[in-house]
Amino acid sequence: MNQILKKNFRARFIRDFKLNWMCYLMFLPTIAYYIIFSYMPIYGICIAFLEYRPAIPFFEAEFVGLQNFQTYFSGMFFLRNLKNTLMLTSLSLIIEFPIPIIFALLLNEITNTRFKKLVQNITYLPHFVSIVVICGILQIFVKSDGVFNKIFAFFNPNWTSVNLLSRSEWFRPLYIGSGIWQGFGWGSILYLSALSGIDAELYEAALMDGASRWKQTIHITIPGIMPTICLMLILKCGGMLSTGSEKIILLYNPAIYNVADTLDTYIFREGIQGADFSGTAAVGMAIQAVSLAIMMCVNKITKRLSGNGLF
Amino acid sequence: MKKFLVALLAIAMLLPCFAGFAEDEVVEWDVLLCWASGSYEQLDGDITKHEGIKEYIRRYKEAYGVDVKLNFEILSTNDVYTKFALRVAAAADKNNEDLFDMIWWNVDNYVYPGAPETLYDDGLVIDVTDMLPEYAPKFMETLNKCPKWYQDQYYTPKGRLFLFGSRFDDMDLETGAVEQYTLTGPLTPTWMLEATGFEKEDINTYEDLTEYLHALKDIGVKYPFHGLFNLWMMEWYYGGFGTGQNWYMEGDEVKWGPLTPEWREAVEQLHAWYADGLLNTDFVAYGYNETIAGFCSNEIGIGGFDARLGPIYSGIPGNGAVTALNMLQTTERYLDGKVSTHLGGTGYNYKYYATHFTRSCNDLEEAIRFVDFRYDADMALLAQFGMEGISFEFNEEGRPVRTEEYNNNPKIDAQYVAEFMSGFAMTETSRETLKEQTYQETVFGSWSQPENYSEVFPVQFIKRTAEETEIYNKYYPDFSNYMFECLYDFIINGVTDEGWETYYNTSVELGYNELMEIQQAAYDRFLAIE
Repeated sequence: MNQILKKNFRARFIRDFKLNWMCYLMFLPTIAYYIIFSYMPIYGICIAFLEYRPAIPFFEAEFVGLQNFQTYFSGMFFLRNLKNTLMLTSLSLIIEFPIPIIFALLLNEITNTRFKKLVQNITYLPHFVSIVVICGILQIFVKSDGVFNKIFAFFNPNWTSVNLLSRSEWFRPLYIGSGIWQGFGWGSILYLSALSGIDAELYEAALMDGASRWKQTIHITIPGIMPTICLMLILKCGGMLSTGSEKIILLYNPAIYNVADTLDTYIFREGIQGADFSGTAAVGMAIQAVSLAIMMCVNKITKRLSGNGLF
Repeated sequence: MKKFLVALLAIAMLLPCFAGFAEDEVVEWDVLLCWASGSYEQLDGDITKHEGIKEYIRRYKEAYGVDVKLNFEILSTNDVYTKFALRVAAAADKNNEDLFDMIWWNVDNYVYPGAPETLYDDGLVIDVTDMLPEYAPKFMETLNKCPKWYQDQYYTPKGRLFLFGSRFDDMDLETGAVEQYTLTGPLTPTWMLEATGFEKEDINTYEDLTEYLHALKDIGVKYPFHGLFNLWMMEWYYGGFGTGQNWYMEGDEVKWGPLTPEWREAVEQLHAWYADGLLNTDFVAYGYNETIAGFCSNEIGIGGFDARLGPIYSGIPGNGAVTALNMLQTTERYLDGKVSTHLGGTGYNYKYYATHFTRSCNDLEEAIRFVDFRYDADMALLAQFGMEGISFEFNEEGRPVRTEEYNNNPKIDAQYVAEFMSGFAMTETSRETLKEQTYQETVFGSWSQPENYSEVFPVQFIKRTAEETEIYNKYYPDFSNYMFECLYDFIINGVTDEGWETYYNTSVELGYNELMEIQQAAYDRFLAIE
């Protein structure tokens, strides 16, 4: 049976390749990219189990088993970093995730094409601004004489001007807020394309049945884009243990370490700046393993609840 | 005709041989320059534009007939900390194919895990201790003149001569007193002093300093006080409270400044200034570049000071620092009358400026001789002052002084003064010439009072063994980060008894005792040297 399947697959592949060889050719760079940058370096993960030293060839390093894992997970700041990571990613999931969906739904309701395109262009623009520039702008805005303090002082005469990034309570709103500003326009593209795929006849039928715009949204639009929402949710959950270190590193300072220091910033500080490649490879590996587990769980849940899943 | 052609052919064939005799030997080295200086930017990122280095190579050729070509790879301050180990790892992974020949350190070398001993143990750099007497006679001559305790600092615990290529401190060779030009102290622009009606001599205590800060605020200075950056480079400040910003010594004991009650006092003072709007409220966001910009745009009234403020000097177009900035005579020895006994930069394991030869180094003997050429009075002049007639000239007393062109051109320093390759020889001739006119002294003439520094800074750094360094590196990052976290919190929110207790206990949990034990052991070894 297997032989027949294999033979069939080969025959089908050859036939398909002859027919669509240009498509395969276009696919080649993508495959090469993943092989070179994602699969080939995987062997490097074994430094998590080694006492790796930069000047010594890779395979001559001493094997230390799980010692690197043990060192970090028993460290004083592990729980704090984990909590901060989960707080940021959870807030991002709760607040940032739905906004592009809502924005796409609102855009979908605009009938004036020129205005719609203008809004789209304006909201896409921040995505193309480098994160370094975004953080630079933010640093200036939050200064004690920056625009945010001036606005607060305008509405509240008793307001004491401080650098907002010196206050723990301001870090998360600034981080999430700037993330929304930068990403909601660009994030809506996927949902807009999903919206465009909904059959217009469904709306016409609903209209004839007397459904209001709101009812149409609830019963046609949202179910129509639900597979896309589920897909994005699963992928987002897969990154629950990763905040990305760049933005935080550009924004944080010791005054707000208690809320801003995450697993990723720790990896950067210890691994890259402190040259502890083995220790942080262990942390990175553990994070990836847990992320994969979370993603699979969420995939299973969404599949059970909505019938849509990633795999 | 036939004979003529044969002769011509023979001559043509022999010509390259003669040419070989006539041409100078050319040696090429790839140098990794771990450079902390921002002046590299002034050369548009191209070190080959450095006239001082070109001159050094020219003079070397003149002396030894060897033409040297240096290919620089530069890691800026931040890059050293993030990329050095990665760069080494990448080379090791490719069988050292693109490993550089030399490393010129201008920053602390702990960027390699377990350094310095592990640099040798892992085979990255070559131990040249036994070769130096033969190939680096100038360096060895100078080193051998130093007191034994000073010489000891040039070697690793395993006896490898680690600091070849390093700059010697200016030292009285007879008494052994180190005359470091210690670049810490409060700094304020001259015009601000004048505008507030203050004189330098008026500021002797922290009460005076507070009064001056209020006066600065009254004349509209945006940030009357700003440490240096991140409020850390303020040895002079903590010193006035009788503590240190880092490790320091008291008698034969090592202490960690940030856990002393005096440090708490010092931080409470900072909090009081913060609450009164005297301390830069944006200090959390002020890095090195912002600090420089703040000084140059007259936003900062008074700040801590160290060697790294050099660019402030050159960052004021057409306005020499000597007139634009003025060091206040309010050192740690004067403020509140307390004398601080620091252990210098003992947070560092070994000092800067060393030159190392990697396992890929081409023509090692020549490379050592090339570096040794620095230990010469003429080369010291070149490194400290640049080129005669352009960046300096000799005055009537035969001492080097900056030219007008130097004082008026903010970029000249980066083009001519190769301080990072300075050997600063302590030969009697160079001492006579340079002692009172070092680079720092010229720029900040009124500050340095070296006669007492041997008491204040008896030792610049202490040495940890490879094992100690491993343990130290395990604890120190979290320990130090937590200290900063608390420092910022205390400055912004004040210090409560409960907060202090938590800070103390957590620091102990983070390895305070283990770190202290290592530092004390290293200091005990230093004290044991006769």
